Amino acid sequence: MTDLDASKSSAGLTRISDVVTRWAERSPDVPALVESTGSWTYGQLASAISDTQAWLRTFGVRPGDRVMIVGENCRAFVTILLATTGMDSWPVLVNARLSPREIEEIQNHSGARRVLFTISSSPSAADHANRHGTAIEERDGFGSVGIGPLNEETEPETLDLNIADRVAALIYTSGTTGVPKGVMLSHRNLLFMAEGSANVRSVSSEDRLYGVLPMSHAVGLSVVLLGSLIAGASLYLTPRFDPMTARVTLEKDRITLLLGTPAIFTQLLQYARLRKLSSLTFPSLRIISSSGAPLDAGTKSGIERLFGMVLHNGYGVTECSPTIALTRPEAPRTDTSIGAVFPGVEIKLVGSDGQAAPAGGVGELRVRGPNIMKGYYRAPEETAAAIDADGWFNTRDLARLEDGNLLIVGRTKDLIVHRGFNVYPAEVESVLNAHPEVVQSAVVGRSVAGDEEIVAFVQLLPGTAVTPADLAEYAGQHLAPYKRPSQIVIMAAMPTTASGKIAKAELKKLAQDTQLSAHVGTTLNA
Amino acid sequence: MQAVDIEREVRKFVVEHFLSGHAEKLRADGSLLGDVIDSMGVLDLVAFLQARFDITVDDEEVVPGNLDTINNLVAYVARKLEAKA
Repeated sequence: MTDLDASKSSAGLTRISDVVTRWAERSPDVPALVESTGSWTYGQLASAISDTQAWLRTFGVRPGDRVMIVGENCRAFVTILLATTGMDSWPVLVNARLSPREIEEIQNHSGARRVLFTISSSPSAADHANRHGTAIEERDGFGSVGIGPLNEETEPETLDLNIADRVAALIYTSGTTGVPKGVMLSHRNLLFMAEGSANVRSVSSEDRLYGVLPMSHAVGLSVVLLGSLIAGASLYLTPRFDPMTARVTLEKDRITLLLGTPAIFTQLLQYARLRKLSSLTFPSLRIISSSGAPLDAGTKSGIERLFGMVLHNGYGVTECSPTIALTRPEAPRTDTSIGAVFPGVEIKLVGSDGQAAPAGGVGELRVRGPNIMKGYYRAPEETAAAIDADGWFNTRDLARLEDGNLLIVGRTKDLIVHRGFNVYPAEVESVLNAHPEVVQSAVVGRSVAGDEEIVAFVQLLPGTAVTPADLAEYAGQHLAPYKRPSQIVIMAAMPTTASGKIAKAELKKLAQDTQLSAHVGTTLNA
Repeated sequence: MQAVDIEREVRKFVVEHFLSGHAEKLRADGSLLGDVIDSMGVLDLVAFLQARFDITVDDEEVVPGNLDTINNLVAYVARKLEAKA
């Protein structure tokens, strides 16, 4: 087979690992990845990637194999990810905060040749590694890595002739049916996004980015990690956000870009209240931006008062690598618009009649461009349902355009975005329904400042002694923390529609109106 | 305040706030900053420590060595109280 690389990015890169190679040649001594346990320059990172490729080959990883990486932001996670793509294996990026059940589903669906756990920076990854009976190996700069057993049954995927179109990351999202879908993002997808994101924000080798968004998810991967490395900037890796550590890092390390979620900015507001601070100033910080969930006006204005600078906003979905629109530094918004369409991406708004929505009118948002995924792994029907014959991806979100800026007015009917993570009610319901004492359940979102909470309504078998706390514990065993209900409400009977379906709109209103605290455990006789 | 009193107060707060009352899930040397206390919870924990023990938890002190286990928390609070006395 002959490799073709005719379609390089405009920066002349073919593979995502090339972002490191380029700067390792030009400025090898500039810090690339910085974390509390140590730092690597671009030169050191390039060497680490090369060493890691040789290491991966020693335990049977081949081109076309899926290699699952379970972890949180750290040098080991980044290096294994870039090393696998450089040798044409597919990294399957998995957040260690997922539950054992979710990790097992992804492992089975992806047919991973090996599962690696970057455990030094993640107690959750260490727990998963213990459960998998992994061999533990110490590597310089990595700390401990858990190496799962070799899957000898699995077959490597055939590689696309064009290198840029080969899969560079497989990221699983929970589907609307609760079954995880593997989004295949190519080198071209990710480099397009990294380059565009860095250009919009004028990121340079002088910049220092705060790397807290999980690199197992699309924004953390393409916008933060690759968007930093492609510009030769320094990325300060942080496995989890807490406002106090963030404040110290922003100040001490003179961070210039902070990309977060509304939940992160809400925590910064809470931190300011705790410390009785009316302003938080970081002289080096030049851009703060939110994405991952709808930004409410209160959070935006509160942060802008606190930081004394504009809070930018963006929107995207994993399947679009992920950004579709973002506000521009040179054109800040006072509202919660998601800004103008990402450079090089096309959109159209389609009305319920299938025709283009009228100017200024609301329509379903369709997207086309180099950021659109290759498809869902091993799910051709789902791929065909998402991307039409002309290449338009259907976000299933409702939007309208105002002076060239997009506003999202409604989202996929049921999706809950909790702390920046997508939570599909069907998945939570399927877990609750599996409890032997549960008749049926319905999960809805409740809007709170800067976030959406997960509220589960559950109908139990008559006479059962099961409590909401029991159900919360049960859910905790089967769901990642961010998917667990904030409140579980026991219902004597579920409200139904005329056709006998659970009336979710009614439950959503009930959840919103229920003034009880967010702690689990309420019984309503409605 | 005795270490045993500090431990009782801290343990009670963590169990009630983060473990829905399931005290049996808490080990004195088990990691709290993973699944037990998420990032939002760290703020609550700091607010509790400041209010209950009348101490100031500096941002620089929010590190696993001080907050990650019940034992570390107790030792940290005891140090702060001693420094204040």
